Amino acid sequence: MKGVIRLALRYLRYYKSQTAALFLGIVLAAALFSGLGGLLGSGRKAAAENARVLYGDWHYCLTGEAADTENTAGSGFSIEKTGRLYLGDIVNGREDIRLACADEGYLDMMFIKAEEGHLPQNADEIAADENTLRTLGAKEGLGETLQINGESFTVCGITDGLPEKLAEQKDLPSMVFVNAEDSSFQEFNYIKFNETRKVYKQMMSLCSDRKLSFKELKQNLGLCELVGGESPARIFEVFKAGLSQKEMGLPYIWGTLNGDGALAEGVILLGTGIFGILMIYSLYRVTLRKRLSQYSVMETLGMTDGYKAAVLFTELFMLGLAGYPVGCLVGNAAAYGIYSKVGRIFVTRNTARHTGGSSFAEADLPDAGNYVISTDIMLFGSAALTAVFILIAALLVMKMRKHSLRQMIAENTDKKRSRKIYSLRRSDLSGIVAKRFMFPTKAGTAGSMLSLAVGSVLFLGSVFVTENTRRNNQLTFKADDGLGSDMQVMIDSENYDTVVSQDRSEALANISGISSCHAVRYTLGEIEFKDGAFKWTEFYPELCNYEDWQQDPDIMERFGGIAVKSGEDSYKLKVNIYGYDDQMLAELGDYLFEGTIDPDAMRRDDTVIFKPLMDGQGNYDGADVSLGDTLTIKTIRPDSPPEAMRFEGDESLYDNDDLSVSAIVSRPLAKVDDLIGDDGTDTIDVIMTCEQMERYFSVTGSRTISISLENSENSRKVYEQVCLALKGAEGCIVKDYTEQIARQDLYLSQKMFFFYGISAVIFGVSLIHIMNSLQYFITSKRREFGILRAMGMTDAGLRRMLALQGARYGLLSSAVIAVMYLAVQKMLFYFMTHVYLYIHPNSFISYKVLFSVLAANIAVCILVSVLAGRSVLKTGIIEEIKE
Amino acid sequence: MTVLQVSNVSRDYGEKNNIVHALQDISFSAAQGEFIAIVGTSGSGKSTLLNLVGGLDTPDKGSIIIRERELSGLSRKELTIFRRRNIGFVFQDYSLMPVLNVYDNTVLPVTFDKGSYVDHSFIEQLLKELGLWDKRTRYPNELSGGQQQRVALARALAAKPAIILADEPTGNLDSRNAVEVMGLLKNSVKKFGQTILMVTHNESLAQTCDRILHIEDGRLLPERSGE
Ligand SMILES: Nc1ncnc2c1ncn2[C@@H]1O[C@H](COP(=O)(O)OP(=O)(O)OP(=O)(O)O)[C@@H](O)[C@H]1O
Ligand SMILES: [Mg+2]
Repeated sequence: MKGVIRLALRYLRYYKSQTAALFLGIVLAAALFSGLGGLLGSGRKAAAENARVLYGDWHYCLTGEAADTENTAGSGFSIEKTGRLYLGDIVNGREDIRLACADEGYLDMMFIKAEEGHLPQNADEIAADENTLRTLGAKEGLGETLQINGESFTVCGITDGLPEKLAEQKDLPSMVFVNAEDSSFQEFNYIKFNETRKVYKQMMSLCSDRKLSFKELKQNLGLCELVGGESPARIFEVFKAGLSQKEMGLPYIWGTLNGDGALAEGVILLGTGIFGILMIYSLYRVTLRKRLSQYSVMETLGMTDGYKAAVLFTELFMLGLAGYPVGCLVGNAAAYGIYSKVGRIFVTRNTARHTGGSSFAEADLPDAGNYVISTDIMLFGSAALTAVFILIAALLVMKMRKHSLRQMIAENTDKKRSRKIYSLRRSDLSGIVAKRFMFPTKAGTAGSMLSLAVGSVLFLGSVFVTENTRRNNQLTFKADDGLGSDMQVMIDSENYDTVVSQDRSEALANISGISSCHAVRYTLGEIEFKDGAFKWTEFYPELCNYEDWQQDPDIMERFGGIAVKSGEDSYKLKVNIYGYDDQMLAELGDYLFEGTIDPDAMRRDDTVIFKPLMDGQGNYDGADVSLGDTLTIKTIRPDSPPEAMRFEGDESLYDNDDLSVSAIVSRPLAKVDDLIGDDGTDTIDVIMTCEQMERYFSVTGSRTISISLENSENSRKVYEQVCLALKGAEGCIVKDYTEQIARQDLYLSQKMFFFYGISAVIFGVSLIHIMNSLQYFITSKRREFGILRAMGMTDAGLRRMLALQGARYGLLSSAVIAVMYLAVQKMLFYFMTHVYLYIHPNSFISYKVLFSVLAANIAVCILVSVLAGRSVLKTGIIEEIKE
Repeated sequence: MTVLQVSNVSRDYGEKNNIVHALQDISFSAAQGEFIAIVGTSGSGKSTLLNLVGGLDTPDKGSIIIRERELSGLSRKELTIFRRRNIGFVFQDYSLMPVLNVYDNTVLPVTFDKGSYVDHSFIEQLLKELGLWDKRTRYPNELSGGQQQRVALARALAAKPAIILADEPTGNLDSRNAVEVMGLLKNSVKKFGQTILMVTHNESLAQTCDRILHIEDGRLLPERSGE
């Protein structure tokens, strides 16, 4: 063993510059990997902490028979906290309020305290949150007497409600806490495991230990998926479903498994890891040819395979032992700095799958918490690196064994060699010589090209995604969240004809500080799609007969369903009809799929814009509508009763207009979603000019008004004036987005900056890597260059030859980069359109970036060759030949 | 006619304390068509001398004049071009290009000269005479030491240089082959009027040359005339 170490050390010292390069490579790879791992891990941790606040600090809840299990320790799981909740009768006949009794553990998990007063101590006391008390008719609060199920109780405390997101879940009632525990009360047993191990596994152990059935188990999904709550069986199920059902496919698998972004993070880390390992391998590989012959000589002196492998491995391992910790230190230090500055950009958020009307803008930006060093990732990285070292050592020894000794010493491992005599054909042999130096074997060339290309491909890929993310964010905000405008006026009313009158909206434009003001005219309509023109019959629950998937009864009541079957293969769909001014129509151009948007032509030719449905995989082909088709739009005549929204009554309530489609877009601007589409599902929309709205349907009022400010500083004053101007208008809400927009912009620009930064680092590393390998290739051939010079090659000739060779090297690697990147781009584009549902992503990276990267590669190759050539020329010929 | 004039040449290696006087105050001249053997013990300075004459290295003192051109007066580029037109090298360790086959190795120096074209019939004849013709598509590592040595020799002769500097060109050959190679060299000298400086450890081969230069410890021993 001592001998092995001594020999390994000797080799490391002998190949000093290679050792240094390899050491640096390991440090860089470790820094990138551990730093990125730490950032992503910290983000996850922060996400988990945020989820804890929103969903409660528990993982599983045992119900029914299982609830009275003792929460004692057992093998394979460790319980950190438990809480018990007992639910009693419903209160005063309301299904959504129940009597409850909870232990301290439960209250602690749900962050429930008495804000005022105290929790019930006597049998006639109750405590509840403010909303529940109000629902029950309490007016004063503390000390008040309330009648509950026929008995009198005194309000002794006002508590916090359930955690925000937990409270939104449908089957959870509001609770009125009492101090009586009845045996008829339903028991719930909440468990929080120790999070250092995957909670799913612990739950499995608990279940098998106590012989519990999974049916009696509820999971805190919001938190569990961030702390290892995903069951492997479910992963398998997801794969099965995704692969067997055509309409689901890859987007479904990815979307489901990546619900919390874990998969995407895994892919990022894997990419970085592979990049690092390829870099280390290729750094090692360049020193190989010299070493191979060295080892072969050792073999003739009686070194066994095992000994050789041991020396090789020890060499690498010692470098790793020194380099890996240094890298982790550097990486974590950098990550710490980054995280403390812009940590929140790493906090996982489910922003990708929202399709409209959702609350990205409304939710506060997440709290980043502190940077946590990700020991898991570092340990995993060190294990992976060791494994790679073992693999390299084994591979090399095998390679040495396969080739005969003489071949080895002759530094030639290529079997098939050209037998051509080049000088018969051409007068210059230097090109051939150089080519054979640079690309000695096909496999070697392919390997080094691949390792050189990976960095650039990673860079290009992340630039491509980042470009499109930025574009998608802008477009999404404008369309879905109204963030395209600084301020918005909206109508909150369930009636289709509650609008802001034209007079009022025109008055708004005169308020000082407002630079522009776009009132969107709106009405509800219905379109009948006949003879199979509507294809997604499974899009609406009211068209299917699923027990566990039903349309909201409220919607059924008010509209008679968003979609109604009107005949064999015919369906009537409720649609939104918008009237835009010309400037908004121009902005809608960003979302154009087909056709042209020309307001004058629309007014002249009676044409409109159609916005189709989008499904969860980014498909838009739900209804068979193409340019030139005529839509028969049924609208409600003014002053009809609200029941007209069912589109069932007497035809005298409605107008019918035939309009043809001149453009198809992916999104409406300033969307109205409080009539249909309230639940976040997508709707079909028809968009036209304001004038058309008036002409066809006599609609002049608007449901949304988008306001842009001259500058965002005096938004407060403008807001007050807008409110004043709208005073008395029915259902009018004014929202000031200026602050959110500023915050959002900062958040996004930080995120973009980071991704550009990381990709730039990777690109930089890969350029250094190219330089190093090329430099090494050239200096390792000094002897041969010496011979060429002795044979009469001039300095200029040598320089020319190397520059040419550098260019060739650069061109080849650029070609490899381009080909690899195009494949990656195709994949990314698919993911962006069908999984992340980006709006109108560019299908191709900007040529400027692509060509800059390729040009940079070629330029670096040429530059390095020329510089290396210079150092070759500085050395005396004799010295070189003797090498 | 004097082709080569070496005057008071010295060459030292290393720094102050462990300085090696590889060559000290060497002077001699060689006429066109002369076949000169250089002998001496190992480490006496023979290879150093050839390197200096070939312009691969520069002397610390003294001058070397070949065909009336003083080498130290030439620029790097001039020297390179002068060398490839006038001097053929056979290195002690052959120094073949591993990535070229026998034929291409042989013509390599000629291809550097843009003006001259490769005389393929001459190369064919040369390779045949050296017994390398049927090995012309092999690579150096597929040849024996002796074969490689003959390729190095072929390469030195390919451009028909005025001076051939050969460092033990027969060191790896059996006596029969050695004699054949000597014959080839002598023929070449006669045919093209070349001058040869050949290092050898083989006393009997040296005896067949026109002159013998003895080097010991970097100094030229006085020539015994009349041999
Ligand atoms: N680059 C160098 N640095 C230091 N000393 C050198 C160098 N090259 C040669 N020498 C020394 O110069 C002396 C002459 O060397 P040279 O190679 O000319 O000997 P040689 O006569 O050719 O010997 P051999 O017959 O073994 O080839 C030797 O003592 C050698 O150690
Ligand atoms: Mg010698």
